[in-house]
Amino acid sequence: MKCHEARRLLSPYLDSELLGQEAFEVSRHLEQCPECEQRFEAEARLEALLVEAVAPPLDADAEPQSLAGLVTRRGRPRRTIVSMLVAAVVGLVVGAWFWSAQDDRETRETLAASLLRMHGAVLDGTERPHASTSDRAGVEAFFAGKLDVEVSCPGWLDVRGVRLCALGGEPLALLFARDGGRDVSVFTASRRLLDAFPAEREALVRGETVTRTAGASRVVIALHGPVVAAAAGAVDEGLLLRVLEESE
Amino acid sequence: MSGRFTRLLEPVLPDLRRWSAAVVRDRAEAEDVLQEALMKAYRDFTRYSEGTSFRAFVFTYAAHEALNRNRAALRRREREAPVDVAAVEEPAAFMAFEEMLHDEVLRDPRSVLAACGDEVRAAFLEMRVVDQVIFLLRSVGGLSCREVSSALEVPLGTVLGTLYRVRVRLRRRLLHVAKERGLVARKDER
Repeated sequence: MKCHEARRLLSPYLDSELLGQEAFEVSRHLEQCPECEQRFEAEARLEALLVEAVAPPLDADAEPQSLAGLVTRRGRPRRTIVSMLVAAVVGLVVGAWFWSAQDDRETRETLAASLLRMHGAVLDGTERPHASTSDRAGVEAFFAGKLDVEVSCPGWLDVRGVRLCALGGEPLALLFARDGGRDVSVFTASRRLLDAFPAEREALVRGETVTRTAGASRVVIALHGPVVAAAAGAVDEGLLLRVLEESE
Repeated sequence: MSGRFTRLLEPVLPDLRRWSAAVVRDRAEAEDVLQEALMKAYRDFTRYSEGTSFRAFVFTYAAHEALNRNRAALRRREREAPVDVAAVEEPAAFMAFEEMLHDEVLRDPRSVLAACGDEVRAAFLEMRVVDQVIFLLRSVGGLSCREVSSALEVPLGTVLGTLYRVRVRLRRRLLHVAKERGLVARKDER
């Protein structure tokens, strides 16, 4: 690919919309052409500044940040929503104070704890595959159009099935796999999942790997560009790290 | 259900508020749009499918609310000020002289934006509301292009084309203003 061809694809590149051969060609060109690599990075910085110019971040102190603050905001409740406020908003505000036990648990949980809990559910059979598949093509076909990031796993991992879950309001891909007779769960989601898990977000954005252990199981989480990837199982940490590295 | 809705909404709310303020402009009106959208999203929360993006779900309501509110104003504006054909038919890609200026802007975009950000914002506000909505759903809302396409029920190609055009127009305005203000110059003009 030549420089002018790569630059023509800047806009879809900024939107992570390049797929297949084009994505491969642009990535390869950027690896080989420092000038274009710098150019694309500069364009990404400019894009972020342009977005700030047209949609300035709001002053955190100037606006109520909670939903309760929003719906009880002093001043002008709209004519059209007064009746709905009576019926639904009260429920929302009250609901915010009296979360159900399930909500409360999920809110307090870290991402690592949530994934370990899900892996536990895989082990005890509560979480079962939506589809059985043992090959990469089957995995890709199942998740096609369901997530806006690619789901992949190393070829050597013995994949048994796939399931589409949800966590923090985001779709989460779960691969049921086995290695040496032990169950391994492989999770993939968009990095937007981290919105709901600020405890781990900072470390992951810095490029660190998050590892947690509960009983015999451990989970390893990493961020690869737009993808949050994690692997859990009662196996060596090295094996889980290998799963993540080779899933990139 | 309300607790779950609130819990899912909490991390999305700052971006929703920022998005609404950017699209609707008037602060009080933006809050109204947000309230109305949230009421409708909550009313329809049973339609939200587990395993799909809640962010996309709730931004869809915000986008439709903003577009509905702007529809009447838009019709009025277009009656009063017919579409400027010359402006619509501006070149989609940069001209050669613009490429040179753009290289200059890329050297220190923060300083240039600090001096010309108001003009860039003005250029954005001149664009069609639906184009603003698409650009902001992608950039502030963090929706994927496919999610934007689905939210607004427009083809994916329309979304990609709109994003491209908005980017070119913002950059074009930026570098023209920067040139006018003497912040950048082509090498042959120095």
